[in-house]
Amino acid sequence: MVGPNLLSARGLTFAYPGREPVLRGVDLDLRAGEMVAVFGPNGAGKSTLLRVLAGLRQPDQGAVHAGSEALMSLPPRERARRIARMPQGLDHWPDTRVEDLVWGGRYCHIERRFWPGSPSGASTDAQAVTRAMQRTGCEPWRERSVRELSGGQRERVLLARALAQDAPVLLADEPTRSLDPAQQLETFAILRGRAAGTRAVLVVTHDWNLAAQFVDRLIFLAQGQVLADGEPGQVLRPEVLEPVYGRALHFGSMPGGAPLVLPDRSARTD
Amino acid sequence: MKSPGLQSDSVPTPGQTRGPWGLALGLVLLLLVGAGLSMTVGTRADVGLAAAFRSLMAQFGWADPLPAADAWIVGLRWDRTVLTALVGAALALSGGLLQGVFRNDLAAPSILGTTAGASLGASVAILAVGGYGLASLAGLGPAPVLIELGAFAGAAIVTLTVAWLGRVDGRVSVPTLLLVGIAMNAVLGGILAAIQSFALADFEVAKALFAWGFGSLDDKGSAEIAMVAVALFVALLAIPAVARELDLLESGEEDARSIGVHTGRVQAIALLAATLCAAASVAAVGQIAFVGLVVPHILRWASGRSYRRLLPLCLLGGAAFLLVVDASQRHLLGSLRLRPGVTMSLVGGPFFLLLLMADRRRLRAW
Repeated sequence: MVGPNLLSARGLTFAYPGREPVLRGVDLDLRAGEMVAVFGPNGAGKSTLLRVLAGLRQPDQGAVHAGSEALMSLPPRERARRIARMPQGLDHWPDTRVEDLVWGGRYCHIERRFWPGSPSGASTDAQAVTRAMQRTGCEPWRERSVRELSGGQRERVLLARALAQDAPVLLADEPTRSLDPAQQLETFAILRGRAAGTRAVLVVTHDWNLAAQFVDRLIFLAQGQVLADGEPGQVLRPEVLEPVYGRALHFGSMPGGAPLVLPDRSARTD
Repeated sequence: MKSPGLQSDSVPTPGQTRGPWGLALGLVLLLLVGAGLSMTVGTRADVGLAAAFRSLMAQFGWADPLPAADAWIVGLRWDRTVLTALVGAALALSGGLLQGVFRNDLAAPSILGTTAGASLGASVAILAVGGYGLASLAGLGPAPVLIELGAFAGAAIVTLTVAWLGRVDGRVSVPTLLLVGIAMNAVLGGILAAIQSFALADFEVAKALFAWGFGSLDDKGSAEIAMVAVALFVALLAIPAVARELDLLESGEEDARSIGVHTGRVQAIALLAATLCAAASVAAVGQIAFVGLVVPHILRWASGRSYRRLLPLCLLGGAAFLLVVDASQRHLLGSLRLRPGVTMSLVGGPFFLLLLMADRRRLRAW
């Protein structure tokens, strides 16, 4: 059952300075209890959309509302308490312990104190951190420097931090990029578990087949516009995808009934 | 376990992580040793630690006062010792803060143009009052105050200008800031050279300008001490407001903002505090390089990267470092004593070069 709107975007347009617009009038709603995936070709504006939705970029036109409040009017901490973002890697991986990085997710909740609370304490913060690390399987490396971890391990640490942030809205940018199939399923299962009750998850991904097995809705973004927004079965159809990808796709279904769309060499017409 | 080759400088790995208290205690001891050395520097070898101690007791009426001549000497040494400690702490804190703002271990007040700005301000003032000579020695007259105000104004104006020019889209952009700082240093260097070449006509003025460039901890009084102490106190208040945030900024500005850090405000506060410290130090004692660069660097090795530890430790470490280096130099070289700016360049320069050599792999990744 879907609940009230947690995040709603209307008429979003955005261009990086001196460039062509990346987003051209995007409307989007994310309701409590929902898990939604955004997919589309490279350069479609997926990551930019996520930045705007997270309040990290001011849209040129349109606005994002978190509940009833305009996102850009919220102070950073308040915004972070409502929206967690799992980025696609970091600009710079600091020389910090895994546990300390995950604690970063609690920054927006912790009242200003010079010395951090001891992680061994029974505070809500420590519990959230421990739970997030256990859920994502980061516990064994909690003492290690994030720089020593593999790409897949780092992705799970960023997921742990986003979970520890404990915001109603979780935005994830390509969360399964460096993961093996079992880990991809595990990550999507974690995100699916998050999208319940008063929480919702929006994930940007290339892997529509994986997403289709978990999400309530798929949003197809191409050239900065929403071309389709609906249940996976309604979106992963030739009428929707072929105008963008051409006739190079095979349409089938998984044993469980989820749609399955694969690149098909024999169907190419060029 | 991990292979040593993969390890960059200061990962606080298990077993290697130490509480900051042991290190802090060590630094306090070093600070006391440095203060002791500094209190016994001078031609009157008979005025030693005992005299200093008795003078301290006498302040509270617990001992008979020293003979006037001895008391005068002890007073001068106290001033010098206290000022050295304060300047060392201020420079190290300034460097630590700037390294956090720039997310760059090699940042220092000199990169922003703070030091050059202070020197230019001071030089203009020296030129205006016609030298730094006797008035300063006696601690009298408006000349020293004017020169210090000039240095302060120069440092503040340059730093704020650089920070303002470095803003892109309403945010401080670190690469732009660094480039603007380099350009500003070049411009200021040219103006400074012009002033110095004009000044060659007047021996007294030229001498004062040169002296400023080497730094001096001698012949300073309560005015200089108060100036650095006030700046340091104000900067100290900034530490709790920025330390945790500087840690979070390590993973990038956008990422820090996404978890709720008010990045613009944090960078502004840290930048202002760093400028205040550097400007007050340069204004009080002239140019002393490398303290702001080397001290945070060493402390990072010993205590890990967290600014929550690093910034407070910088206060102790900077004070201890400048005291020990300057006082031992004076003991070792006797009457040949070097200006502190020169000592620090001779000691700090090669040390810094060694750091760079050890760190080359990481630098390549810039």
